[in-house]
This record gives sequence, structure tokens and C-alpha cells, in this order.
Amino acid sequence: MSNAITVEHLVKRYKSLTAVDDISFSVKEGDLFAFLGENGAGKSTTINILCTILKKTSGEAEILGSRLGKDDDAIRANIGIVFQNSVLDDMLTVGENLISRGSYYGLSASEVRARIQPFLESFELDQIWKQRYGKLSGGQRRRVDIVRAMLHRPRILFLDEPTTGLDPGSRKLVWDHIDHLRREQGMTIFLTTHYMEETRDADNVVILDHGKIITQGTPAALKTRYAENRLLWYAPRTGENDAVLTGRSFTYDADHYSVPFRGVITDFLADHRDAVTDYEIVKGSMDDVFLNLTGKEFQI
Amino acid sequence: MKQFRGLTRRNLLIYFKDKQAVLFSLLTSIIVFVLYLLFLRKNYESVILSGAKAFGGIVTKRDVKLLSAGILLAGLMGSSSITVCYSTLTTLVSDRQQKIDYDICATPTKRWQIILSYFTASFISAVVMTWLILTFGLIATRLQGSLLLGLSDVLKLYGLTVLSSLSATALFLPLMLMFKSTSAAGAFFGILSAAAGFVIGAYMPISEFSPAVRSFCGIFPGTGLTSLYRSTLMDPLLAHIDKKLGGIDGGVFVRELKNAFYSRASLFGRELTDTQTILYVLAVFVLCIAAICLIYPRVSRRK
Repeated sequence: MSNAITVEHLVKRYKSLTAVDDISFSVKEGDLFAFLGENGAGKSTTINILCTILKKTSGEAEILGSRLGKDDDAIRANIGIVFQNSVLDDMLTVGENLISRGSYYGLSASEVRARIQPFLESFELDQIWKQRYGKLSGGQRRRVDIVRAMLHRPRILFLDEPTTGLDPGSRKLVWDHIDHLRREQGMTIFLTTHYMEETRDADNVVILDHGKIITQGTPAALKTRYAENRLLWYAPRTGENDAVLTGRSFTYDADHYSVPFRGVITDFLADHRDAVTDYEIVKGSMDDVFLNLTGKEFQI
Repeated sequence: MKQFRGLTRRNLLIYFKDKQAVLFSLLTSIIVFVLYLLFLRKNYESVILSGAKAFGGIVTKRDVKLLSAGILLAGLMGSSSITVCYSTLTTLVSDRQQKIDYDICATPTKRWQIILSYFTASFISAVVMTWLILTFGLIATRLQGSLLLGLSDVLKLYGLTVLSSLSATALFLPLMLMFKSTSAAGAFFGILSAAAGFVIGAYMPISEFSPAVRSFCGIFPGTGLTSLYRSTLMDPLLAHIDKKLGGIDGGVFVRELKNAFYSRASLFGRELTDTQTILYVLAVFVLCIAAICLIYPRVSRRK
């Protein structure tokens, strides 16, 4: 599979501040690519550069074979963006918003209507077509934002924290729609998110800190490398049970021992099968990866 | 062109769909109208009547009322083109503040199409609103009597609104490019609404001000254009009055009324003729366009 995005030594400086510091990565066509980092890590700056909104200070980037800074119009025609904040007009109806945005790609009102047909039912657009965008709920707005980004049938969809501020139900709904688009259209998705669990299905994850890439890989590989699995052993805290864990670090929370471990734990469970009867194994999370790499809790 | 049309249509929709914004964009005109009903009409009429007293009944009360209505209508048109342009152009500032311009910049639209769409929407809004005011004003005035306007005068009035809207849009666009927030633009609008009425002579004739203030007011194209509205609206009736007077005052009465109510643009203390006023407005327009061409590439998100 060829690369949809190739970035080499990308740098963005604002006077004395280096927002993006010599980063290189690539995204394969059809992949779900996740960009993680705290606020100010450089995620949105990178997206804005790749979307031709901001000018890079140095470095190279190629998007679907078009060079950034040289073939920007070709790039713009092939990308869709869901921004962190809603960027449609509150005073206009959903229909007016979508028709006006479609016109920026040279689409007529009837072409826009034809293109959103597939979304009418699944995104429940027909019910809100004549409603003012500013009066929609957060989840409804996000759905309209996604449809807006899809109007011109882009090959890459940039999602800049698409679910921030949404309730869990709306978040799930938005992700269902994104998954549907990926499955149906094989679209490349470039995601930045604050919610670590949203990177679970990513093909590749890049973690940024202070504008630099500190690691990248598949979620499974990153968890294996940087996160510890945990054995949760449900048993009362007694000296006898403590003795079972001799030589292992552990904590006791409410009703269970929490025992971090790397690799396999089957030998331990086999050795103590009479004592350790009620337990579960929790895989290391992307939160743990982030915490271990940056030494910081992920802040929203 | 589809992109440009789409951008312009969107900017127009944002202005016209916000009823409150439309109402507040006419704030100066509303103030002028309210002041007219409260006391300006009485003042204008008493000034004209006091001058006309010496000629017995030659200058009728209807003439005086029509002249007064002409002064009002010129003030309404002069102020509306200024404030409507400003109000429509604030979309540019709110787009930047809400980062809506990111969304526009990430599409294949050209940079010039984006700025030209703001310009065009402001121009169209001002023309539409000023034409509405002019049309209603002419109908309302006709119901009181005739200003003796010929077809060419009426066409000239509609043409002047086009020039006035172009001029105000070009004047305010560089300013809008420099505002960073809608609250700053809103605060300036408050000052503009209050000051515009004075500067163009809608609240009171500029002849009431000191020469220095008159010179300052004359710098603004809107002042000269409002004077052109007035002369176009009132000249035929004044000429008729002058004819009725038959030269018994050597034309002094009409000349004094013009001096009192017309507020011509002046440069270096010299009053400009109608043609010179139009040339001055066009010169300022060209300067403002040059300023836009200089400023926009520096402040545009898309470099």
C-alpha cells in the first residue's frame, strides 16, 4: 500500500517558539492514523500545516503525491477536515451551510444534495436539514461537521479532536459514523484525540511531546513496549495473601490486589492456583503508554 | 466563479438572516430619523421659513416641508451606506475569531476570491439597504408633494448609492483586516454610529461647525457623497423656488440654503465641485484598494 502522507523533517517556528520540531512520519492509504499529545504538543499545528492553512518553516511533506507548498490546490481538493471547534455558521440552516461549503469546491446546490443522499438516513440529516446549525446539540453539530468534510469526497479525512466535549453517547455515535466511512470508502483517517481509547483501532500511533515525536508504532506494540499489564486479584488483604506476592510490587485497592507485570504471568498463576482463584488480567492501556513516556497524566 | 459566488452568497446570508444585525446596522439612520421627528424637522423648517418670510407666500409651507424631507432622506442614505457596509464586513472579523476562515482556507478557493467575497457582500448589502431607503423615501416624499426630480435625478441618486457603497466598503475593509476580535469591531461600531451622523452632517448641518471641524469632516468620502445626495434631491426644487422669486433677492436665499445644508468635501480649505467630489471619492477608493492589497496578504491565514 502506498503512502497517503509522507512528512520529512517538518518544522514550524513562531519567533522563539518551536511548535513542531523536526518530525517525520508516514501514513499509509486507508489507515487510521492517530496523533497523540497534550495541549500545545503541536498536533493541531501539524494538521494545519498539512491542510495548507499554515506555512511550514522547513521540511517536506507530500500528500497523495502532491508536494505541500507547491500543489496546494490539489491537496485541498483531496482532503476533508473536521476541526476541533465547529466552523459552520450558527445563523444558517444545516442545508444552507452544506450548500455554501459545497460551493467552495465548485459544487452546485443540486450536486451537494446528491452527494449527501448516502448520509441523509445514517446521519439523520433529513430531520435537521432546515434547522439552524447554532441550535443543534453537540452530537448533531459534529455529524454535520463530518458530512461537511465529506462533501467533496476527499481521500484523506483529518479529524482534529472530533469528539472533545461530547457526551459518551454522542462520542460513540460519531465513531460509528467514522468507522462506517472507513469501511465503506476505504478512506485514510488522520486523527488527533484526547481520548486514548479512541486510538485502540488505529493502525499506527504517533506520540508528540513539545513538538517532537517521542515514539510511534501500533497500539499493541506501544502497549507491549511502554505499558504494564496488571493482575487484579480479588481477595481480602491478609498476611497470608501478601506472602503469595512476595518479590512482586503490588498495591491494594478496596477489594483487590493490583499487581503490575510484563510478559506472561501464567507460571505465577499456575504456582498459586489454590490461592489466586478470583482474578482478572487487565492489559496496559494507551494512558499508561502516554504516562510512562511523558511522565505526565493525559490532560484534557 | 462558483467558489466566489458561494462565498459571497454565504456572507450575504449571514447578514440578512440576522434580523437584529440588520436593524442595528441601520442604527445611525434610525437615530437620524428619530431626531428628525423629535426636533430636527422643526429646526430645519424654522431656519428655511425665517429666510423665506421676507418673500411673503412665494416660498410655500409645502416647499419648506419637502426641502426638510430632502435633507432627512440624504442623511438617511448617507448614514445607511456607511453603517451597513461596516456591519456586513464584521463577518470577516468573526470568521477569524471563530476560526471559520480555517475552513475556507482549506478549500481550493483562491485567496483573492475570499477577500473579494467579503467586499462584494458588503457592497451588495449596502446597495440593497440604501435602495430600499431611497425608494421608500421617494415614495413618502411624493405623497407630500413633488421634489420636481427628473428621471436623470432619480437615476443619479441610485447611482450615487452605488458609489457610496463602494466607497464605504473600501474604506472599512482595511480597518476590518486589522481588528482581532468582534468585541473591538463592535466597540468601534458604537463610536462610528454616533460619529457618522455628525461627520456627514445628518444630525446637524456641517455649516454649524468651525472651519477646522468642517475641513476634518470633508476628508471622509461619506460627507461629500451625502452633500451630493442633498444637492441632487433639493436642487430641482431650489431652482424652482429661485425661479418663483424671479431674481428679487439676486439668488441669495437659495445660495444661503445651499451654504447651510450642503456640506461639500473640501481639500486644503477649498470646496470641491460635484465632479471634483466624485473624483475625490474615487481617489480615496483607489487608495483604500491599494491598502487592502498591501494589508491582506500579511494578515491572511493562507500565506
